[in-house]
Amino acid sequence: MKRPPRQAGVLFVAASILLLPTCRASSYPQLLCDDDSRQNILHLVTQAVPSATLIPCIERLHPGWTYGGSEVRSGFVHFWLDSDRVGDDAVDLTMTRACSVAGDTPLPVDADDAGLRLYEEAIVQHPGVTVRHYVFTGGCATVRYSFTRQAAPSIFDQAEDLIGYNLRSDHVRAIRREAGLTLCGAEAPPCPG
Amino acid sequence: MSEPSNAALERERRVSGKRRRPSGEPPPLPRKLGVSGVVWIGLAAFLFTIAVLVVAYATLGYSFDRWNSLSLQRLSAVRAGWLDPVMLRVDDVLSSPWTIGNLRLATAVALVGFRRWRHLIVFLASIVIVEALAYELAIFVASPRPDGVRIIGNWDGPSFPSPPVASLAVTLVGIVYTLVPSGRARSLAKWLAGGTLFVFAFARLYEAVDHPTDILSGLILGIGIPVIAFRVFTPNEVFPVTYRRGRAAHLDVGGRRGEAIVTAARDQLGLSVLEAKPIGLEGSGGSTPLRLRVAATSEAPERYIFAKLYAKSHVRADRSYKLGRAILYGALEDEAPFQSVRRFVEYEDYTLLLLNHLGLPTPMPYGFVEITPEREYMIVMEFFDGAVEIGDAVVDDEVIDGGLLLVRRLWDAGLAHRDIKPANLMVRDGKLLLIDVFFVQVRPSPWRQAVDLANMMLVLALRSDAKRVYEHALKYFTEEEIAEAFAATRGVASPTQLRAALKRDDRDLIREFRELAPERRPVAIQRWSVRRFVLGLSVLVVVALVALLVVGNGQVVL
Repeated sequence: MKRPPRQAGVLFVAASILLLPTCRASSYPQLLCDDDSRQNILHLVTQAVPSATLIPCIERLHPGWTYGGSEVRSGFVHFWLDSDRVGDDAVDLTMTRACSVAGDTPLPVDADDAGLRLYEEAIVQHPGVTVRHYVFTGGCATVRYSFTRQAAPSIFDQAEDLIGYNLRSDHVRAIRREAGLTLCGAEAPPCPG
Repeated sequence: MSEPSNAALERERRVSGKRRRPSGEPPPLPRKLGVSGVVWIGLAAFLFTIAVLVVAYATLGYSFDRWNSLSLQRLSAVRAGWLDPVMLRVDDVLSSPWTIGNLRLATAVALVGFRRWRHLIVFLASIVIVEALAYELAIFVASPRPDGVRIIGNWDGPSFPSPPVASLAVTLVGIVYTLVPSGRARSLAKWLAGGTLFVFAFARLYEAVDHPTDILSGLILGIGIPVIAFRVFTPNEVFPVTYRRGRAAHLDVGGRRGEAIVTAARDQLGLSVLEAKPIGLEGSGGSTPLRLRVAATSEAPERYIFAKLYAKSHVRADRSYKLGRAILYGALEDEAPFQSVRRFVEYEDYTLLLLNHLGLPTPMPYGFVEITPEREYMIVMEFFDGAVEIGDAVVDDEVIDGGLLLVRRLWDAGLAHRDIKPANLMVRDGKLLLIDVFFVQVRPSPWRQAVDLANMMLVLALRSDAKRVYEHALKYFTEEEIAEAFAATRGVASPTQLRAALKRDDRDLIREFRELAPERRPVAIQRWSVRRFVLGLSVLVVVALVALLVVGNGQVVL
């Protein structure tokens, strides 16, 4: 009995599967600013950039905004939000230990945001896009808006409110109280090793 | 006729050697998962339970975290400046997608090269399952990295279960089970893989990027799933990893299966098998043909008998073969596929009995034996000792008449052989014998019967000439019947072996026969039906869905 050739099909599936380890996308739960120390994703973010004294997070989303996804790895935190009006990846935040703000324009911050320094990159560098750096002790959050205030003023105001910052020290205390564990890094005693 | 007494029956059993397998006794070749397989299933169930409990009860998770933290703090005491870069390098190399991707690619290429499709599919499926489970569990538990100890390595995402450990483990286990032959070589390979995983795990604990429980769970997933998959879908007794030449459809008849064949033939048929040797493998892809040497009895001398081993893989091959033909040609394959290997072997046993009952020159059936219930059976029949394939025999008038009369008798009995080719026609003492009756169909379509006649005439003409065969054919068939036969015979209507032989021959035998017979319009091979349309459409939809799923996995699973 002759078997039909199936090499092509098997090779196609094989190639697709072999590519799996190189692909990485994420669907972690969203990093909410609500004070809940049980949010493991919050815990992971504090571990990713242990020097950061503030932890960027997502405030309550306005209608039309959705959580896009996130990546958390050592030294790097990245999450993004989608909008039904300005498209996917409308607000994209990346936190690292440091970033360069040379040549950027300093902007004033609200009185509530003590400890934050805000810089905006020149619009000519990224036409149609707004890039801001929120610098704080031990960390820097770069927020990229896929639009400008001039193009969509009301959406820009909304988008600015979507990102908040929690104090790392609050989380360190909560973990110690609830789990009996000591986080390493800023606002915590030094760790062994 | 008087009933035989109990004593007589008992005596007959003793003489024949037959023995009924009592309830609870394993079959000749039992299907075993093995102790380690059961252990891995238990560990996987334990891991899943722990994951659910940790999510449901935060305090339990914290207890694990504290224990993990304490263990890593103790381990961090052995950190030394010179050892740090070594451990970082080990982790970087072994967790790198480049390393793992290349190991997988090389394994897949090797498996394609050795045409070990079943192993390849199980290997790929294990990878998909392990990667998907590791990722989904990591998202479900969303476990942070170790606390209370300085992390000195790089990490990515939640820690439980450790995805790099699971990825490397499934890859190494896959290599061991698909490329290394069972026995000493595989044991050595297992130790090597184990050693590599141990060093890798130690490096990740040393760096404090993973908790001990993350490593443990990564190993359970990455080793347990492929081990179970390979034991279930590519058991070594059925699909051994060997580097001897042979067709993939042919089963190994040594080792435990060889012993099972001897036991089954003795207990179920009363035959004492001295030797089981594969035979004629090149002419058969749908089963494993064997020549069995059977010990002499008070009634018969030592002799050879013929057997064919059928496994589930043959049923699957038959199913996909028929599906392909039904889509390509419509009504060409006017039958439903077999649903089980038992039905497969029962059908061949029936056709052998039927042809013998009709007095046709086919092998005498001895019945079939069960090797592994519902998975593997062996059909046993007469071996035509001393017969030669028609391609190597002298084809004289007696042989030509024998072949044509055979088809006439098949027609008269309402049968079609459907696989008339040189490999299935034997000659012994000037008599033509027909073997391999698996494709025989009762009440076939007229087209099928016509094709049988044309194929027989072509086989006979290959060793003689068309005019001679045609003249002999007129003794058994009308000119119109012969014209119909050659109007029906084109391309795929003839078995591959016959088509190849015709191609090698300098003459155009089909044209010669057509010129001899009255003119007749060709019979169309392509038949359109609702079934063919639905089948074709369904296959297209399934292919599209699989493609979407694979692409979707690339984006969602990892």
